[in-house]
Amino acid sequence: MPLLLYCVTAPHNSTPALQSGVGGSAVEEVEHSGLRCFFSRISGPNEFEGAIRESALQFHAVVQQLFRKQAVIPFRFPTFLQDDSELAGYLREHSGYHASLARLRDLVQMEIRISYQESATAAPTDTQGGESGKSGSKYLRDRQARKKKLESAAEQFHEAGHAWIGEWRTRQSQDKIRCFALVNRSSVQEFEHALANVQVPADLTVRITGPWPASEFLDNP
Amino acid sequence: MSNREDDPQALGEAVGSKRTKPSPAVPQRIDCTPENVEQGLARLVLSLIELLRQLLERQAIRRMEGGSLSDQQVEEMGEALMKLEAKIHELAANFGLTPADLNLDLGPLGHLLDNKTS
Repeated sequence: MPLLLYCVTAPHNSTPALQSGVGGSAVEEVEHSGLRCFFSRISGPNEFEGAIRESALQFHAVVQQLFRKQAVIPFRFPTFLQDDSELAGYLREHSGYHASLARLRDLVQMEIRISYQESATAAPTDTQGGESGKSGSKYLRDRQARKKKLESAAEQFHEAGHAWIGEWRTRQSQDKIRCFALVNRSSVQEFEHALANVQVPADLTVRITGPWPASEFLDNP
Repeated sequence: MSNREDDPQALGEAVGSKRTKPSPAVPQRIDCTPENVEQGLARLVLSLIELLRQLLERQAIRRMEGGSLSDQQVEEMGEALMKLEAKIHELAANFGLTPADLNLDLGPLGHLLDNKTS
């Protein structure tokens, strides 16, 4: 029976009593190559057909339970392996996770997502000449200004949380920037408090979420 | 301001951003109605064109900031990029796609149109 994988942790950590997994399945664990992996035996993706959102939340609940006590490397939902031997092979191949888990042991990831509000995102366009009545140079300068505004807001958050941030990464697209801060598990509240007073321009919205597993900071994803 | 496991949107984003590799054992489902195949192909092609357009736009902004473009060149490049963007959006709309649909989810690699920095 295929295995639905939840996450990998360091071995020998005390494990909380886990509730059932996706679709009420039992959550099992195995240790191999210096890693501990949590999984459920599920007949396949068809088992949660029509309940994908609910299944994803159940998956996340399992990962979150484990993450409250220790560093985890979560799998993308849904990740299946064929059987136990394939899982053993996977863990052998990824024994490097051991070093990542040791490095991230007391660290969590906080995300700051800064985006333009809907009304500011939708630029009026016509199909012939692009944004109505706009010159080419104005178009480029507007784009430059939008990009800089996002970067500047991100930098404000970076500076505000600087004392608590171990590492900082960003992913930027045209209308948003996602910033990831690696923060000590015990400093999350202070970090959030430090960021609470940051002011951004009115056309930007900010969402701060976390703590999450430090997925953006793995050495070898 | 912070959202945790009681926030479905944050959960969805977090679940979708995990970095470990998906298994090849996950069956890939392809909906092969003629209409969907056409839309899928359009999505792929338009995504790649939009990626190239955005790369060109970033390069144009860098060159503009570096002062290596004349005003005339800035105007011409800007106009070309603006028209190309409008045309991509128009074609996408013809296939029932929104601009957000062109930012393909590449699994462990993130999204196609996101620019990662560290």
